[in-house]
Amino acid sequence: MTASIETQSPPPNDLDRKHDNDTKHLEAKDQAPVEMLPIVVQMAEPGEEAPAGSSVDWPELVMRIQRGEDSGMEDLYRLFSRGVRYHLCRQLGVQELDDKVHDTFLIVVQAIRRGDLREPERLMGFVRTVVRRQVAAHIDQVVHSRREELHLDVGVRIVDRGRNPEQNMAFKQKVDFMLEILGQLNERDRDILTRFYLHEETQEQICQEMTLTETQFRLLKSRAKARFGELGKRKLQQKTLTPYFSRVSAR
Amino acid sequence: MNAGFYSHLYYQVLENYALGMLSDEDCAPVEEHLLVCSACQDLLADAEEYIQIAKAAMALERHGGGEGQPLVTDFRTRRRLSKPVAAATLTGARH
Repeated sequence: MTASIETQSPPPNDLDRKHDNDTKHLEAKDQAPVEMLPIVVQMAEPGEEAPAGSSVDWPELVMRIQRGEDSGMEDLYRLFSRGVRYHLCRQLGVQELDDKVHDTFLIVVQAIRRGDLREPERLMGFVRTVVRRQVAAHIDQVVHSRREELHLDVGVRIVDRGRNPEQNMAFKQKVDFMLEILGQLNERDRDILTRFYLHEETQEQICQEMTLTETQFRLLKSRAKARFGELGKRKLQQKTLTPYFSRVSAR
Repeated sequence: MNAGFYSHLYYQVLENYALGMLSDEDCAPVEEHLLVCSACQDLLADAEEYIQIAKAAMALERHGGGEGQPLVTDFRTRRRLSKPVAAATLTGARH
C-alpha cells in the first residue's frame, strides 16, 4: 500500500447512525470505498475540530525558534507536547516520561538552532525522527542493562501494560460483550474477524482466501464494532437504571 | 504540502497501524499526523483497546476459558518494529 494524502470525504454508508459520537467517528472513517484504499487521511468533517497544526506556518515557526523567541518555543511545545508524550508513552510506558519528553524537545530545539533542519516545512517529520531515535536509544539502553538478567527476544514488550483490578474487571466485562457479539455471528463471519484480529492476517489475504470484497470485509468489521459500542452503552444504561428499578419495585 | 494536516486518519488505517500492518513508508504520514492530532490519538487508543478485547474474546472462544482459568488481558501484536527500533533491539541482543 502506498501512502498518499488526499482529502476526499467518505461516501455515505448503510450503517444506522444512532450511535454515540465514538461510533459515528468510526463509521465516517471506516467506510472508505475500495478505490480509496491508499488514502490515509480524510478532511476534517464540518463541525469537527481540525488537527492542531493545520494552520501553522512551519517555516515561520522554525525561524522564531532559531531566533530564540519564547513564542516559538511555546508554540512548538503546545503543538507537539501531547503527541510526543503520547508516542513515547505508547512505545515505552510512563516511566520517566516527563524526562523523555523534555529530552526530545531539547534535541529538537538544539537541532533547529544549529540549522540541522534543512527543510523547515518538514518539521513534523523531523520531530517524528527525533522521537523514533529516542525510542530506539531507550530500547537499546534497556536491552543492554537487562542482558545479564534476562534473555530478550526481538519482539520484547518494553511497555508495561499492567492493569489494576478495577481496569481488569472493566476489561473482562468488555470481553464478555465481545463474546456475546461473536456468538451472534455466523461461523464464517466469526472466522473472518478471528483471522484479522487474533491471527493478524492482512485484509488482502483474508479477502482472497475467503472470496470477499474489501467493502464486505470492512463492513463486517465496522458492524461488529458498532454492535460492540451499542451493547456496551445498553449494558451501561441497564446498570445505571437497575438500582432505580429495584428501589421502585420494593415500594 | 500540508494537505494531510487538515485531515484526520481513517479508523481502518489506525487499526492496521496498531496491528503493525503498515509499511515504514505508510507509517510516516500516520505518525506525523498523530504527533499533532489529539482526536486521532484518542481514536488510536480506542482501536488498540478494541483489538486487545477482540483478541482476548477470540482466544477464549477458540481455546475455551473454564472456571478458574485466568483471562489473558495482554496480547502482543505482530507489531513490526521501525527500522531504528529494530536496529537498536538487534544490536542490544547481539551483545
